[in-house]
Amino acid sequence: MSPRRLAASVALLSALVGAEGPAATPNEPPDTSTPGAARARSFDELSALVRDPAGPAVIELDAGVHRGDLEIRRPVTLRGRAGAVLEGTGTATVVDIAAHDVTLEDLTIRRSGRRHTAEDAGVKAGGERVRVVRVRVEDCLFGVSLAQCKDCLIERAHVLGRDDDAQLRGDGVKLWEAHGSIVRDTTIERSRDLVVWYTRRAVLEGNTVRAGRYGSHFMYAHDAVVRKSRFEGNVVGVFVMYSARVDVEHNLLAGARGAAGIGLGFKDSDAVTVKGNWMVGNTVGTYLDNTPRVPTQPVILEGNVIALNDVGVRLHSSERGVRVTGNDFHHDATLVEVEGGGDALALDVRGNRYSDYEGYDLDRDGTGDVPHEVKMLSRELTESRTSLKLFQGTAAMGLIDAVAHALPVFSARRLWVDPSPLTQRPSIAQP
Amino acid sequence: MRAPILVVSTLLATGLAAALFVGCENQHEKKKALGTGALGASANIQDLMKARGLSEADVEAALKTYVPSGKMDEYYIFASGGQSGNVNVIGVPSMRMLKVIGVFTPESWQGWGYGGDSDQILEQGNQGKHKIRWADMHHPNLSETKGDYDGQFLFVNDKANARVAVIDLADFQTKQIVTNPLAASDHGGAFVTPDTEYVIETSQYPAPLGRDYAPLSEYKDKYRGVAVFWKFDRQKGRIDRDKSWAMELPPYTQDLADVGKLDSDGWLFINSFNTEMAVGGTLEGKPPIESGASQNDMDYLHVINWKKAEQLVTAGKTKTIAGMRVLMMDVSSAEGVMALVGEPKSPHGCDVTPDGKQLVIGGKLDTHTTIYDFAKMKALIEQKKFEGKDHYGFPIMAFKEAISGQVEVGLGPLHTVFDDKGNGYTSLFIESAVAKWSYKDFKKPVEKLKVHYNIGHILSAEGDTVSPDGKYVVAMNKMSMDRFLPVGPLYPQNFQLIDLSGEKMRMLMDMPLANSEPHYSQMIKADKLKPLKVYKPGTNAHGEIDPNKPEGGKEKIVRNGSKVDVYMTAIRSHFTPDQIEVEEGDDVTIHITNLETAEDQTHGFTIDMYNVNVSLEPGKHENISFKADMAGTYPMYCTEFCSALHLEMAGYFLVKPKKKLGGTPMSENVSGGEQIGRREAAPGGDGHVHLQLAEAKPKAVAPARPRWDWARWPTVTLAISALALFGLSYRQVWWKFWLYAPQYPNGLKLQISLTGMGGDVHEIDLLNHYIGMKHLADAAPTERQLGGYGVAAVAVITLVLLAAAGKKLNKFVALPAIAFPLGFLADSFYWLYSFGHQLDPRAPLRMSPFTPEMFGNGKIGQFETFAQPSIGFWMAVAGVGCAIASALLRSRVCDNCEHAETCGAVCPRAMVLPEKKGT
Repeated sequence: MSPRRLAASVALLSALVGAEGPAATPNEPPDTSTPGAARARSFDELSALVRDPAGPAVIELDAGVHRGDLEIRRPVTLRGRAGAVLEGTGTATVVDIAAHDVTLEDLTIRRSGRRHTAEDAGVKAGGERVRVVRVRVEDCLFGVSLAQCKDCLIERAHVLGRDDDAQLRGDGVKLWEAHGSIVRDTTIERSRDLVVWYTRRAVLEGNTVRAGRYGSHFMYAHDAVVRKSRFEGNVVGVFVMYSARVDVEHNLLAGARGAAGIGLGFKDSDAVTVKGNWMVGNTVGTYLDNTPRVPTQPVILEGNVIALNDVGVRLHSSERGVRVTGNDFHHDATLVEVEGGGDALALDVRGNRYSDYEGYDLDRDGTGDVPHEVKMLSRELTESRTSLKLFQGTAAMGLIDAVAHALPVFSARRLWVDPSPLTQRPSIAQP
Repeated sequence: MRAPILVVSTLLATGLAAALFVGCENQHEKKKALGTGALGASANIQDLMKARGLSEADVEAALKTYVPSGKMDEYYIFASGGQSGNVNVIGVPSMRMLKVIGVFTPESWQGWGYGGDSDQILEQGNQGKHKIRWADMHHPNLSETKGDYDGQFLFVNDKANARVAVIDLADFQTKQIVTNPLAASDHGGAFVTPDTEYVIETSQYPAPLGRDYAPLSEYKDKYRGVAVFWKFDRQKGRIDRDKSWAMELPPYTQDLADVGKLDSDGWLFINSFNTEMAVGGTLEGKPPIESGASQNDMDYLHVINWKKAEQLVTAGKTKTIAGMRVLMMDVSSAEGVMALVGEPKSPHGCDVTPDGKQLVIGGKLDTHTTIYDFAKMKALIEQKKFEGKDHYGFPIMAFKEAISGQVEVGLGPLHTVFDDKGNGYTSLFIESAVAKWSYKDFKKPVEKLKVHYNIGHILSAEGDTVSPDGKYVVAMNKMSMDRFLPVGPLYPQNFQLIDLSGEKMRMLMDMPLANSEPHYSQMIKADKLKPLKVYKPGTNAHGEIDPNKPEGGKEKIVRNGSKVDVYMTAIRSHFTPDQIEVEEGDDVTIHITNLETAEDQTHGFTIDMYNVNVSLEPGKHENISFKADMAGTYPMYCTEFCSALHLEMAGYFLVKPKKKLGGTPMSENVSGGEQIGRREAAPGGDGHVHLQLAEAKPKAVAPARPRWDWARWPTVTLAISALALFGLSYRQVWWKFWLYAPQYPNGLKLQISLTGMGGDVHEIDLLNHYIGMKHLADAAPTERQLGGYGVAAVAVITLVLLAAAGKKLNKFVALPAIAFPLGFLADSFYWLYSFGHQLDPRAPLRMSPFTPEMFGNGKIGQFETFAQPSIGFWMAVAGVGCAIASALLRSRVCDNCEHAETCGAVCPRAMVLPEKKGT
């Protein structure tokens, strides 16, 4: 063999050998990244290690599909290596945790049972400081369910529901009595709801919820925060019931269509702050029902973009104790609707920008010189004959409204008055 | 230049024309609708509309609901009266109240529960130890024949006290109340089977059967739900307790029920909302039941084959608990009598469609109604295809396999009723709306109508039967703010009548329910009811001809020892007899019949002060029993306006006082007054007062007297301790005041005692000077001077009374001691008040008059004050305690002293001398 050929063969050989060497490829973690961590190669091994009360604090699960339903009853960290999949038997919850300080990381969990009555889930946890991080849950009835799970965390998880009829799916994430828990940077798709019930101090941050029923549903969830999240194409973006001191900030709530579509809805809640959100392309941008219950616990709608909705703001009846300032009402088909024949005159409305503002600003101070009033004759007609809504947005209706403005022979009720409307669009960053 | 103006003006003109056209169209519409010619003065109607601010829609609604004088409504609504415990009867479409039927709660106009025979029916409803005279009525149900209302009977439940009442619609009177011996509360009731074989009552909050005690830690094992099947005997018009039976259910907090019909005849469906079995524990930091019961995504719908259960009961496979035969869970699960299936989100309503093929469930926190297919469920049960079992061994059907589908209706669906066109009408509580959808075609768009506000139950014309009428739906709303004139914080509930005759639902009118929170109601065609106009002469409250009914002309008063029976009649405008005289203490029964035969000729009857009132409809008979325990003169009269001489329809009921017995003086005019002899209150066990009769005179061989003599020295000792405490307190501080301000971070102190004041008196005086308050030293000068003598006087008087007071003066022994600290308090307050209100007007700082706070926190200017009693006061209080104890002991001793009868104002023994030997 010539020296060149030998060198080439050696090079080829070492390349082949090198490929299997211990040098890690970028995606593969070392053998055990934590000293003292145990390695589980199969489901049975994993189960045994977990069940052992004196077992290791950290367990790494090998790549591959491991079939079985896991019960965790002691503090432990379960970490999956790339390609580790925990597949349930399809008859029950896949990972059932009843312990404190349990962490699930870097796993794919799938195939739970399908029993609604037992709420078969990908992960079910109760305890304190349970963490579910970088976990992918798919093909499960319920995604991650935290019940009486205090200070728990779901971070960078991905829950993908089944392709069932929306009603027959389970909830992607469920928090019940999970005070102080956090759901962060998580994506939930095709599930039913993300529910936060009877849970205080919940934080939902940086999440994306898509194609579900309720993007988030809060009930008796006081001191909750929803921020920097995206709710797209759900039936309702976020709905808050019977909760106090809720902050909804810098979220995108879009595409809630359908007869009951609402971007952001509140019922019987107090001390609510809605700031910097974009509510775009929903049937109703924001819905307020008896919120606040007490005018001394006010609702603040400040600096939001409410655009391209069928109705910008809908009120259940004449609400009071709501402050609406600095918002950008941009091309909503109807700015405001009040049910029950009431009006929005008791709201503290000022300094908003309206795309259909017809006033002027002679002194160029950025604030219109005449108030912006919503008072449409055509609305009176559509209220008593709802079939006329078909003509909304057409020239015919526009003509009627123009005439009413020019020749106020027929008085129409005032619904909404902003004494100092902005003439420039406020800059509100897209969440 | 002209062109733009031309364009603009043309546009304006066109627009104006358009608007005017639209406006004119409206006018034309109105004219057409009202038929100018037919009504004649249509201009008047326009004026009326303008004057009252009515729209065309309002006028249409008025025309659809107004029932002119002399014309009748089309339907009756029998509405529960909620916590009023009675039934409201309302006419449709006028939405006028026609009647209130007395059921569980006494109603004096009808003479329901005020002395007549109705008392016996109300007594049937007693539970446990209590006379229950109110109810939380929920669901009236009319009797059915072949699944259709027959207008004969009405059954209602009482949630709070687990009872069912039977109302006879022949005369709209309650005839029977049965008490549930097993459950502690019911909700799923009353529901009737298609031929009213059974009236069904299912429990709500679980409890051990028979309501025995069991701690909540044993909830899973001991607490149970129950479904009672009351057998109804239509001939007798009564529930037959002996033929009734019950089924034990798991403690899932059952809610509403509905009975199957046609295809599902023989089956019963009950939903539940607490399959989590949460029991609360809020004080212990556990989640409340509200949260615990909402944890699970689904609860269990119970699907029960009651015909099979009935067979097992007839075969004797029951256990008798609290006198009722119960089919226990182990038997019913083994025999396949009941299966479970999931129902979403804390469900409430449970409604079978008119064809009996489907069952509609509304989940309180859901956005959809869920429709279950009966044929599918029956097949699953027969083929035993289940997905698991619950804790008690009952099989669970798979949700997806049991349903025919779900319809998105809106937020918070509760109850569903039906019309004759295959539509369901579901009440949406959270959204305040009614949703109309089709149970024959789930894809049909849902139509919604807003209601005001927060609808609970919903009803439609004959909507629970196999053949609903359509035509009307009534929304029974819980909240009515801004609907009616304000009447204070308790708002009426609101029934809203909805018209189904058009393509879309249309709100017609509001009706305030001013006396109740009605839960459920049923609407029945008016011509199905054939109530009596008058009674057969002598009919009593039980619907029978009373054996004691007097004939006209044969009235009499019969005396038998202390029992008096009066056989009376009433007819315009007199009573016979109209003079009744009895002796005090007699047991009187008045048997009275109204002899009238004409419609609406009702007489009332009352005897002043005796708390009786009965209502005598034509032919009605009442038996009124009471004890004539008050001597005196009591007019009796007709209470229901009956004739021109109604006021003259009166008489006298005279009660002769009992003769006094010779010898011992009697107390006068006391109800249950003192009897001869002594009365000993012996607290313990049954808490009754035991009467102990003592012999009139001491004899040689006398029964032993309780020996209280040993208490003499303790009495004296206690009294002397009291005085010692007072003496000791003399020098102590009685009250302390602190005043805090930024300039005085450690505060200023003021201590008050009987002799004077201590603390920062000078500093406080300086400050007080600025607001014009007098010097503290000037306070209570006389009191401080004479304080010592006062205490001495109290001591001396107490000792004298202690030694010398006879039985008559016993009560005064402790008075001086009690008066002492009270006097201090009153005096202090007086001086504080006086100082605070006599501020010198020339003072540099002006303050409005005030009284410094004596107890706890107060504020004077910028000073935060705090005051509390101190050791001296507490010693005085202790002294008072001793004084009172001493007085009590002393009275015991006196009562049992040998001189008790003859003792006057002076004690012959000076309290301390021993008794004579031999007594």
